[in-house]
Amino acid sequence: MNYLKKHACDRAHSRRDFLRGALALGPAIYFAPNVLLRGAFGSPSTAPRNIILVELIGGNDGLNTIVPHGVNGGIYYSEFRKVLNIPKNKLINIDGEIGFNSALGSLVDGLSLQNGLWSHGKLAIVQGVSYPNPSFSHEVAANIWAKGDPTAAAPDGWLARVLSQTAGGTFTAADISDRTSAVFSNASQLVPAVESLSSFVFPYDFFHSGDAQNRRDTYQTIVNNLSGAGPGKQKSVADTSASVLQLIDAFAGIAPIAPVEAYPQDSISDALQLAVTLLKSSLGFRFIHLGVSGFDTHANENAGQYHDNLIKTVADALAATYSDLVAQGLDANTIIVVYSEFGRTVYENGSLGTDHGSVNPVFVMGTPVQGGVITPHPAMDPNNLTADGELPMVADFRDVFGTIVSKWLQLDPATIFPGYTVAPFGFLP
Amino acid sequence: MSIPWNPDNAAHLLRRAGFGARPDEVAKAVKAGLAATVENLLKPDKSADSLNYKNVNDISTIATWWIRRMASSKKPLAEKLTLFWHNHFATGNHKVDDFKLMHQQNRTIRKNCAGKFRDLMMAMARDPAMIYWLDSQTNVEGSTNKNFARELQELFTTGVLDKNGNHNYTENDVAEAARAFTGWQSDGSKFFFNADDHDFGAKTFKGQTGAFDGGDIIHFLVVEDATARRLCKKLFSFFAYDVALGDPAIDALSNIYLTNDTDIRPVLAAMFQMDEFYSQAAVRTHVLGPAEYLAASVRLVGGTVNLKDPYSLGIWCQDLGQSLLDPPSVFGWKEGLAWLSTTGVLGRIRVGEAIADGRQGDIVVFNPKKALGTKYNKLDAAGATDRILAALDMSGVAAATRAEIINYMQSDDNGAPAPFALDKDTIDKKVRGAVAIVLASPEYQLS
Repeated sequence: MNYLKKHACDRAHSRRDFLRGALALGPAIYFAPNVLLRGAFGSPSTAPRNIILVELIGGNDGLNTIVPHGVNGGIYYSEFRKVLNIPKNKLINIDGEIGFNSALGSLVDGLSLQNGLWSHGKLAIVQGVSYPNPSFSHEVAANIWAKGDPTAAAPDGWLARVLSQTAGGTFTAADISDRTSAVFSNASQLVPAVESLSSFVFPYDFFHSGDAQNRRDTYQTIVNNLSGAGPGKQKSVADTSASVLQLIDAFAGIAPIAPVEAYPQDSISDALQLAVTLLKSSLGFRFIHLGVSGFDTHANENAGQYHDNLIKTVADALAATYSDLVAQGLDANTIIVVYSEFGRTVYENGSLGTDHGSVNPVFVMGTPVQGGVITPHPAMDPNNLTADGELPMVADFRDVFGTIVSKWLQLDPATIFPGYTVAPFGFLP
Repeated sequence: MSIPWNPDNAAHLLRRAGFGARPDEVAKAVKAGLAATVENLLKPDKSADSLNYKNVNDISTIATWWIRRMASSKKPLAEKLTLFWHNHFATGNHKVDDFKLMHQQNRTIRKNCAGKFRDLMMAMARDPAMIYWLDSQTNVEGSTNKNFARELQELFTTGVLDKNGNHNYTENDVAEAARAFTGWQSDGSKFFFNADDHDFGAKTFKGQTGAFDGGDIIHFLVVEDATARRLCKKLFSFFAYDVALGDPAIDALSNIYLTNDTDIRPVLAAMFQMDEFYSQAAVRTHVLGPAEYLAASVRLVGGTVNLKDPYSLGIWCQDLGQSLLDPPSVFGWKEGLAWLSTTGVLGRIRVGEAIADGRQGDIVVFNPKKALGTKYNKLDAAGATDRILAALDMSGVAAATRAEIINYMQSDDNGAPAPFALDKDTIDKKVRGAVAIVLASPEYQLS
């Protein structure tokens, strides 16, 4: 099959077709190996610990995600958000002061009322997360989060620093994307960007099929000759090309897994399902990053519209992912972290939207997580805003990631966030 | 200045100021000389760039049209610059949602691509797609939307920090600039100043106070040192090699920009005649972006784009990681090695194969005889390999790469050495095969 020659309109579905195609063979075929593998994994406590990082790109509106309707006596939220405020009776109550946007219902109770992360105490909400002198630039702020450095000056991503201290196979981390995120900048090992397993083939086009193996062998030799030496960029490209050939062989051995509870059909779910597939494979993947774009809601953020739909899609995908992790026996050694480069302005703008703000909640979820509201919401008071007119910080993002580094990965957080003394939170034992 | 004007340097200039050239075009440039070649490259493109929208119905058809134009234009620098500015003013159809406005913006950029930056910046501030993209439409007196005012400074002109790491503007400058741009709206197809929504009051912008309009803000910003330096740094990094804001190579170019009233053309003319432009740091160090890769490949193989398929070239570009006219965010695409993740490399393998295997009715039609040139009948495997490499502007590959392709040319289906003759079957199998291998190879990805 050569999809490149098909009409353009068919193209967008190739990844889904691949996954669906595998499932169409029927769950029975795939169930048996999963059950066997589960035993082979051994005790979860000794299994390598995994992290899925989900980055909400563009700056999520935290105030309309975990809604502080009753903070400071509930006077100001609806003042700040005259049109965009979500009334209390439309929220899923947490403690009388804050509540979930009801679009997050599946994170509370589960997608089909099982494995509810919040209801089982497996969802931690750290509110008011930022860093000193926050940047209002997407690029600078995203870089700060990726580098784990409020000056963004560090040359390497914070997960790259983790990787350099992590024993593992050839591939330990992956980005579910067409590009590798800055959290892996300057990593000591290649971090593949994987959009779909089905694209990892070569040759793709079997013209003169008898000659196809020759083409691959020739390409392999050329790449090997250039890899490991030569001018910098050429070496980098050759090294990546060599990794591509390695991954083609490695991915060919991955058995598709059938989720017990179906994922919703959208690109975010597809990406998260692929993340679970990589963690489940025996290839050594432990750290997965994936970005979800579309959060730069300067306009059209009104109730039931764009922003609500977007966070519902993410929440549903995460709920399905958690169920899948449970079904695959991966839940005891996997946590998911959801963050965004900044929150949005306290005051709404004139476009039914919000501009670039400061603090935001970070979500940490999974079976090992001790859930609950970890930090209080910053005061909702016009007299208590920063010089930039935004909410003051309650928690430093390095304390959130630092908690994971020290308690989950059992590494010294001073080596990951140099010059900063991490004060760990209690959301992990 | 002592730039040896030889085929290597001429080919380098034509790669960077365009999308690569075949041996005959390189020979022509060598004969004309450096100054004349640069002058010719910088002549404005007067060819029509309008479109009959009957045959155009979505963004991928515009992307296909544009890539075809890049591949076939006699003024490739205009297309290269339009691509550069598209990434600078990155506007995405996923929000604008109007392919005609996206095409209109593309034409506006092309028209202003090598003129005064002031004019280009003003045209972009008044461009309907930009007005929707950065919410100028709803930026009104008393309830400003800071989106455009921020990106104007952060992305289009000064940038956040100067070369010494100091902030170029404050949050207050963003807020005040937003007030100055209130009422800058679109009527659906063109700029419209809505006086009812404009804030005519006094604003204080970077220490100056007055009843500023958006135009005043742009006039202040485009002549700032920080803007000069940042634009020249971006141009130099795209056309020559990556430099930091403080790099001395940028000093002279920023000066030219400022003393020529923000004109881009003399900046480019000077850059293309700098020693640094032809240095080791520059030659074969630019990672081809997806659109550049497609335009160069179609151009070099002498391919014909199938006009019956208005979508697929644009979709290929998207498949390679660059959805033209629909960048993921205001930051556009990060250039350089970021294009060549594992997924990026896989894309080059797939698309390279598809171009090499392009037959009648396919997206790009490639006649393998075109890669061999004239009088090829008596060529041996090495001779045929050299012709293919020359056609693809790859004569400079490593000796080991060349040797491996020669081996490939004369191997049978079991990989064993076999007698070589350029008969019909060998041409179809091995010339196409070698082109597929080269288009996927690490060396080809570096321009």
